[in-house]
Order: sequence, then C-alpha cells, then structure tokens
Amino acid sequence: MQGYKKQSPIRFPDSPLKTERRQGWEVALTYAGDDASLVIIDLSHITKWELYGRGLEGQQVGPAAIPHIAGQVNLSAGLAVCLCRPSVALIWQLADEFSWTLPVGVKLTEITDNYALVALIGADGPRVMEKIADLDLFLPAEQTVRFVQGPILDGASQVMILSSPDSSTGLLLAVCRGAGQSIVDAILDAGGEFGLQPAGEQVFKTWLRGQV
Amino acid sequence: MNDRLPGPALRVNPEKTIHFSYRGRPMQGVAGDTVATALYASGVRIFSRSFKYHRARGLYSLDGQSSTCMMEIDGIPNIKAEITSLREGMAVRPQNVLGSPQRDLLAVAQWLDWAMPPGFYYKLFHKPWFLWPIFSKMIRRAAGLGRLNEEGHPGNFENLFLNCDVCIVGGGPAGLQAALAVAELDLRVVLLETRSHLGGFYDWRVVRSAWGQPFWARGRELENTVVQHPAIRVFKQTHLTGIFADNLLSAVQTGQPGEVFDERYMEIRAGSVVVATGSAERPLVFENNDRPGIMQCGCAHRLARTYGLLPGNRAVLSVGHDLMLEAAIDLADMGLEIAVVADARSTGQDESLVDALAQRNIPLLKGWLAAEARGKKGVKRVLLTNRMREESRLFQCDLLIASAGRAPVLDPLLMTRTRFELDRQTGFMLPVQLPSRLYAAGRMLGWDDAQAIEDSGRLAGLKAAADCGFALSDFIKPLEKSLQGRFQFRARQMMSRAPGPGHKSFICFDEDVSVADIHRVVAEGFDSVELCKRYSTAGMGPSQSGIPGQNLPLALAECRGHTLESLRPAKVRSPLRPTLLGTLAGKHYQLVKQTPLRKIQQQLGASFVRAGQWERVQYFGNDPTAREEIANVHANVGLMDVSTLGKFRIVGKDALAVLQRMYVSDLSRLIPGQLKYSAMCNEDGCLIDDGMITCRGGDDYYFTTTSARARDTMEWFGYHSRFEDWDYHIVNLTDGWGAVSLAGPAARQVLSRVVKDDVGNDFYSKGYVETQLKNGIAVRLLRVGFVADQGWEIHAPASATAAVWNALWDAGQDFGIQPFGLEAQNVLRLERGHIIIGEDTELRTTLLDLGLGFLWDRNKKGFKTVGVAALHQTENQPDRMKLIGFKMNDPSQTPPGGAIIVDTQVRGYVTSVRYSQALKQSIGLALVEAPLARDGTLLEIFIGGPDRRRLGAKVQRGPFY
Repeated sequence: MQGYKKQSPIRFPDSPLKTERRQGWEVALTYAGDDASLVIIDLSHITKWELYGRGLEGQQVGPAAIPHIAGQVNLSAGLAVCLCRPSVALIWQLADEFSWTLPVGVKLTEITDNYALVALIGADGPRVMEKIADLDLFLPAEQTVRFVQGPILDGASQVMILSSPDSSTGLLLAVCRGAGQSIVDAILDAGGEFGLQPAGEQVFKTWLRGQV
Repeated sequence: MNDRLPGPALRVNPEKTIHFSYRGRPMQGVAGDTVATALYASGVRIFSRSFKYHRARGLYSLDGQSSTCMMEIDGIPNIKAEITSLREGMAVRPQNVLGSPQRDLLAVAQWLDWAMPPGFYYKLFHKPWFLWPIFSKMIRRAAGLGRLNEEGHPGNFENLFLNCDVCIVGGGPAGLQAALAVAELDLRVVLLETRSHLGGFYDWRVVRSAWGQPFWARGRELENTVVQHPAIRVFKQTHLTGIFADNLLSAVQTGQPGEVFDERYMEIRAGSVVVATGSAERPLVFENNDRPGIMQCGCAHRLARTYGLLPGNRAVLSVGHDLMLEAAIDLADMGLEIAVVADARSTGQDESLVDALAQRNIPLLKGWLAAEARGKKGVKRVLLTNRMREESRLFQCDLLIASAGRAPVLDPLLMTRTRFELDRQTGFMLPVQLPSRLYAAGRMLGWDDAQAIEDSGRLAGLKAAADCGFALSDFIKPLEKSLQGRFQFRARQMMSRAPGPGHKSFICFDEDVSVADIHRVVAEGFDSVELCKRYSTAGMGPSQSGIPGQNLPLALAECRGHTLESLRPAKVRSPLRPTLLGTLAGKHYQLVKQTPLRKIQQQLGASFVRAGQWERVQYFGNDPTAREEIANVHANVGLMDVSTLGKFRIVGKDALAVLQRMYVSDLSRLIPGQLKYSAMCNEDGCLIDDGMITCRGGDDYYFTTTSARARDTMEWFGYHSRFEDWDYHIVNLTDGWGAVSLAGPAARQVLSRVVKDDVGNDFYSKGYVETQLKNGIAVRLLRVGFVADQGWEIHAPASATAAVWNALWDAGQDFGIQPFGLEAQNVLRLERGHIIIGEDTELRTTLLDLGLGFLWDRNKKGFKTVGVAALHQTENQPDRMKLIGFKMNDPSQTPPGGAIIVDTQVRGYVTSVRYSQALKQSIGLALVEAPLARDGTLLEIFIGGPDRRRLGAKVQRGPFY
C-alpha cells in the first residue's frame, strides 16, 4: 500500500465534483463543466513511457504496433504508441492498466512525471491552440491521428491529435511538467471565448471509447 | 445623420443607429459605417491637420492610404478613421490641432514653408552648438503625429499563429478565385483581406458584368462561396504587415464589434503565397491637391454605393481610367451634379462610356487635368488645363474627384526578392520574376477585364496548389494559354501632374513633401529613390508606399529627365501598416516553470524570483540576507528545493563513450554506488557546466547539470556525437524528477529517520544510493557537499517530491530543520569556495583559470573530449584571468558585485561577494590578472558613486569556512 499522495502539476480554478484515489493520484472524475462543448481534462496521472532501441518500427507493444513512420500514432485498446523519431517511441497508457510486453532489446524509461498531460476535447480545440502556439494543429475534416512535437509558449511539448468526422476533435497535450500550470492557465484564458471548461476523466474516457 | 441613399450594393444598415462623439459632441452613424464615413455623413469635412504645415486635410481615400484621416479614437492617436469600424460609444477627436480643425492656431506654419525645406533641421540649429539641446527639444515637441496617452490604453490584444497550405493576400475577384482553386483540392487556405468585406472592386459597381449580373452581385456570390467553404479561413479587416523568408507572413487584424479582441497579431506559415492586392488609384498631383473636398474616384464612388452618401453637390472629375468614367456616370445617375470630366488621356477611352457621358450632358475634356484647386478650407473652384498647360478653364464645385490613373499595389512583393520592370503596355511596374512559392494575380499584374482577372487568380491558385504536390499541369497550361494576349488596356496613363512650380503640389501627404521639395532634394544630390526618400522623408510616414510610393519615382524621373524605364519603386519595410505596440506585444502569455515544491514553499513564506524559466525561492520570511537560514545550516540542518537542477539518464552501449567525450574527467572507472563530480567545457576549454555523474549499472548512467544548462544538454550531446554511430539514448528527467537538498550537521540523523536502509558507515561511504523512503517513495540519494560537509540531494519522481519534502520536514523537526533559499545557498557555497557557473565564470575562463584543473584527467585518451585541445593550448599562457578568493581588510565592508579591481588600471572584477555572519567577514570571488592571483596579494577594489573610494582586500586561497 502506497503511503503517500502523488501530486498533479495542474490546478484548475474549479474544484472537481467527484474524485478517486488511484495509485497515489487524486484523479478528478467529474466537474461541473463536463457538459461544455470544449473541455480541458487533467490526465497527468496517465502512465507514459519512452522506448529506445534500434529497429523499433513495427514491433508489437501489447495490442498496438510501433508505427513505421515518425509522427504516426497507433491507438489500440487505449494504448497509444507513437514513433517520435527513428529508435525512439512513446507509449501513453490512456485507458486502464493492462499488461503489455516490451520488445526485445529495448530500453525503457518511465516519463509519467516528465509531463503535465491534458486533453482538450471539442471542435474548437485547434482554435484555442493557435492562439498560443505555432504548431500546425488545424485539421481537415478527416480521420486523423497525428503526433506533433514543438514548443508551446517556449516549453517543449508533445501533441497527439485525434479527430474524426463523427466525433469531436481531441488534442492530448503533454507539456514539460514545470511549465504545465503556465500553459494550462494560458489555454484556459485563450479558450474563454469558446466556452472552455475543466472536465473530469470520465468525459475523456467516454470520448476515447468513440475513438478506438 | 442616418439618411442614406438606397442602393443594392450598400454595406451599411441605416436602420441600426450607432452613437459616438466627435470633439465631445454627440453624433450618430449607422451599422457598417467606418468612423470617417459616419463623420462625413454628419458634415465633418476637415478630419485632421497635416504633420508639418498644419494644412487642413479631409477624406481622400477609403483604404487608409495616407494620414489625412488619422484621428485620436478612444484616446489612441494615429488611428485611420476611414478603415476603423464605428462602434457604439466611440470618442473621436482630431489630432495635430491647436484649437479646432477649422481654426488651427498652428496653421501659420503653412506660410513658413520657405523656411522649412527638406532637411532644414540638418542645416540649422547646430550653431552655436550650445543651443542645439534647446532646439532639439523644441523640434521634438513640435514634430510627431498625435500625442500618446502616457498611462497606456486598455484593450484586448491577442496573437494568432496559423498554418496553411496556401495563403492568399487580397480578397478581390482574383484572390477569391485563387482561394477556391486551392480549396477545391482540399488544401487549407488562409485568406487575408484589409476591408471588412470581400469582393474587391466588384463590390460597389452596379454595371453588368460579363456573367450577366451586376459586378456587386458577382462579388457577393464569390464572397459567399468562399466564406462557406470549409477549407478556407477568411480574415477580414486584416492588414498584411510583412512577408518574410520561407513564406512566413505577419498581419494585424482589427476586431469587429462583438469580437473578443481589439487587435490581434497574426503569424501565418504558408506552403505557398498568392498575392492579389489589386491596383490602387495613383494620386493626381496639382497645386493644393490636399484640400478637403478633394478625394479619389473610388472613395467618392464607394461613399455613394457602399455607404449611401453622396460625396458632394457639384463635382469636377479629373481622371485617367475608364473605371473613373464609369464612376462619373453612376454618380451622376445617383444625383451628383457633374460640372465636367477631365480625362488626362487624349485618346483610348471606352466609347460606350464617352457616349453615356454625352447622353447625360456631362462635358468630357480629353487630355485635360486639374492644375489647381482653390479655396482655403475646402474646394471652391478648380482650374483645369490641357496637358501642356496651353489652355485652362475654371470651374466652380464643392468636390474634386481626382485621380491620375491606376497602379498596382506592390507592397507585399516589395518585401520579397521580386524583380520588377516597367511594362510598356500598361505603364505599370510589374513583377517579372517572383521567388519560388510566391505568386501574383489579378489587377496587380495589369489585367483589366474581369474575366482575365478571375482567370489569373485561378491560375495563381493552381500553381500554388501544385507546389503542395498536386499534378495540375493539365489545368494550368490551358489557363496560361487563354490569358496570353488578353491585356485590354486601352491607353496607358503615366502623367501624374500638370506642369507648374509645384510648391503646394504634394507627393506625400504624411510628411508634407511637395514636388518643389523633390526638386530641391535632387539639386542637393539625393537623386536616387532611396536617398531622395530618406532626405525628403517622402514615404517615410505611416503610409510608406501608399500615396507617396506611387508618384515619388515618377516625380524623380521627371526631375532628372530620365526615361520611365529607369523607374524603381522605393523599398518598404515591415510593418506595412501602422500597428499598435500593444498588438505587437500581444497577449504575452508568460511561461514560468514551477517546481513540485512551489505550493509547500509558498506556505512557508517563500519569496520567489525568476531564475531563467524557473520560479525559485530567494529566501524565506522577511530577511533578504537569509542570515537565520544560513546559521541554521551551519548549526542544525536545512532543506532546499533544488528540483531545477538538470537530471538526465543516458543509456546504451556507447553511453560511456559519450560521457567521456563531454566530461573532462575519466569516467571509465565509475562503479555503481560511486558518484563523481566533473565538468564540461566548450571547444575553447571554457567551463560551461558541472555536475554529478553516477553509473546505475551496466550501460545506464544518471547525471546532473546546472539548472541553467539543463535545456541545452541534450542538444550539446547530440551535436558533439553527430559524426559517430554511437548507440545511446538520453532522457531529460529535469521536470520529471524533483530534488531536495538536505544539508547541515544533522543531515545524517534526519536521513536515517526517513530511509528504509540503515544509514550506517557502509551507507555513508557511498556517493550514490537508490533506495526507498519508509513511506514507499523510490528515491535516489546523491552525497553532495556544495553548501555543507554533511549534505545529500534526494531525487524523487516529481509527483512524489512534495511527499519527500514532508517526510524530511517531519523527521527534521527534532533537529531544528528549516528551509533555505538561493540567497543562503549563495553565501554557504561562497564560504566553501565553490563557484556558480555564469556568476563566477565568463565566456573566456577556462577550467584551469577557475582552479578546477584537478577535474581534467590528462591520461584519458581516444575520446576527443570537448575542450581538451584548448586546455592544452592555454594552460601555459601567462596573461590569463584567474579566479581567486578574497577577504576584505575591513571585515564590515562589502563591495558590490561587479566592482572593479584596480591599481593604476583595471586588473579584474568581483564576481561574487557576501558578508558571512559565520566568519564575521566579507568574502568573495574575483577574476583578476594572473600576477594578482598569488595568495596574500593585496587588492584594491574601486567603489564608484558619490563617495568614490578604494577598499582593501587580500587574496586567500581555498575555502573560507
């Protein structure tokens, strides 16, 4: 039994309506703004890994294979696997815990705490982001899962973009943990005109089920 | 004044009244008005006074091409009233006025023009020299446009960063067709338009187009198609301010009523760019061409058709293009009395237009143009002459519609490496060679018939789309072929002024530069466009190439007797349109990095400072000298947040080789549990970083860097191993792992209470331990003596760092644990003689200069360690600066950091200095010339300021405490 509480780098102005203690994290499940058309969700507790090894492309990690092209993402059973660049891949465990096997000869570093991870879900998500970051997130109306690396407010960031014509656009923003609060404050400010509200993890899980 | 003429092309809603004030008096406009059109509707004719001579100025264009309508709006000066949408409650005031616009006391300046020729301030006021400061202040006070509100002004300014496949500049028919051609291929388009609506010169024309519908209807049809297209993003009221390398464009958008921003700065990264900025009217230059009541043809026509305002009662037109004849006919049909139309072209007019004028009994004088406007504060009479001024006739009127013809709007292309040539057929300066991925379209290329304009837009759009990887030659070639030979210019018109002295014939309204001024400037030898522009200041005002840019090259060529082929347009610079500084600053979101311990430390009364991107604790409580914090570390135990330290994992079979290249020490003998302090140098042997390195087992290493260096480390490693096929991976854990420094005599006791292991001698003999705290947190312990003999850094995952701090805090209560910040750390490390990189080092100090040569392992071979070659070269140089420690002779005296060390000349400077309570002595570090670095050398430290003096100090080797 873990005897300490893990802390998220993100604090929203609103308090959650319902929380759950999970592996030391106080996970916010619901907020008053869960029904808003554009929501931001703190997912910093989601486990993230960085894989290093030569010939990673195509190797199976649990239900998903590592993509062959840098910037591509394979999303399967709540596991997002992305090839960042040759020999480096990322794993974001978006859904509940399940076991997965590591490819042979691969070095693994847990980077959960390296990033503050937030989801920005809603059609206007890219509109909010283009007010604060020079990243190409504006998507044509087609099924897309993409991975973009670049600065958000001068902070190193990783963005996973998931959108489809049938469900609203979702951006998963992993920003360096120290800058997390600054960037979230900026997103909340920039998203004011679009009615951006904090929401709980349940909104994310519902949305994710529509993606996979 | 809400009575507007009816019409199909209106862009105002006369049913919706908007209230505003002018000079404190309440006025009304209607929805869709600009400030200028609302004022014009209310009878205001003098909008401002000019910059230099305070001449009355009125509405001239509706596109903000000069400063004539610059006004103070809501307390902000220099706002162009003709392109500013009217909002409820706006407060509008004239500017550059002492008194009222009608009776400006400074208008006397217009009679002193003989005393203020171009460059007069370069020649006058310099003698006698002691009077220059007085004149300088007077000139500065008199010059300038408007007056800034020193308290700033409220407003919501935002940034917008856009990415697209093709950016279209200009929302006229060519731009709209270009946008549609690109968007049909599902490419992303960003379209920028300066006006508040699309359609360009179609928008107000009621004559029928080749498509059977009136031009305005054709324009609205195209506008609706574009606006509704999902792949096209339209930004209206958006002014391009620059085009830069790799198709980076900057623009400024003015917020419309109901939008959340007042202005926003935009940066657009485009794969390709289509410039379709159309053509503008070339101003006609004649005596008193700046009088209120004189306006461009498009201005008058748009006032009537777009805003429902008849621009005057009786008008004289002096024009040079068929569009202007069309405007004369339309304005006459709307009820404007046209006294006469003078056309500077002797031949080449569209005969159907000539017939239409005749049917309305409007006299047409071919080969005639305006030579002089008469009337002091408005036009009362106009003198027309033929081209050689052999004949002249005087006409009474209250409105002079004057335009020399048309010319392409080249501003965006002038910022690029486009090559221009004068086209004989059109008389236009046309782009003949454009940079790659940049295209021009529409009237700016000389196309004059609507079908050709739209086709050229479509062609440019297809070419831009082809750059994005589409094979479109089957569509491009037929369009190119159909456009060949389709110029429909009936007669080019290059004459821009009637012969005459030109004393009050203004080329540049912004800067009050007349034709006569240009002649003077050329006579003084400033005979190229760029030199003439700088010396005369024509085109140096807010309009840049707007009004002055059209005629300055022509006037210069005429003055020098050069051919028109010698013309070159003047350069323009960003921002192409005046922009508020607040807009350039934008929202200015600040990225401030917070450590995982920020909240805890805040509760303990921390004072934070910015250290790079991080927010760090300077001290706790109210004492900036942190004496209690320091004393507590000496006597008991202190706790400091050092989470900002760079923390890295490097792993892989070649990880050691990489480390050996970067660090000056030999790390090959590093075994698990051992911690080594070492340093990194740059290629010059200068110290850039220091930190701890440990081996976690096998080919897995963990190392720390200074906080400042954390961001650059991965790039540094990559750069210096770029030619090696090394198998290694480096992970930056700086944000992912927090760190706490536990320092002081009781550190061991505190540690023993929180870690699971027995903190016995075996444990203590190690430099690096991976273990768990009793509450289950996995930690990495590094034994570090930076601020105390007994010191540990406890590294833990960032989410658990607060729990680590709390555990240590609770365990340390019996030992007097207290937090300490940067100030205490600075004194404590100084007492121990430790340096801080960046504070006690500079770009030219090598490892050896700093006394850290012991870190350099000279026996390490084969790794090409960065900086080692330079260390060999410089180690015996006699004239290098050396870092020394010093104590003040008078223990109570503490010189300021940066104070210089002198004898008969400057010999060095103090890098760090503090008063040490423990030593009862001021101590410091300094960089001095090598001969002064010997132990015991007496130094003199110069103190500047009101009580200049020298303080004595003595060099002392080794730690002070």
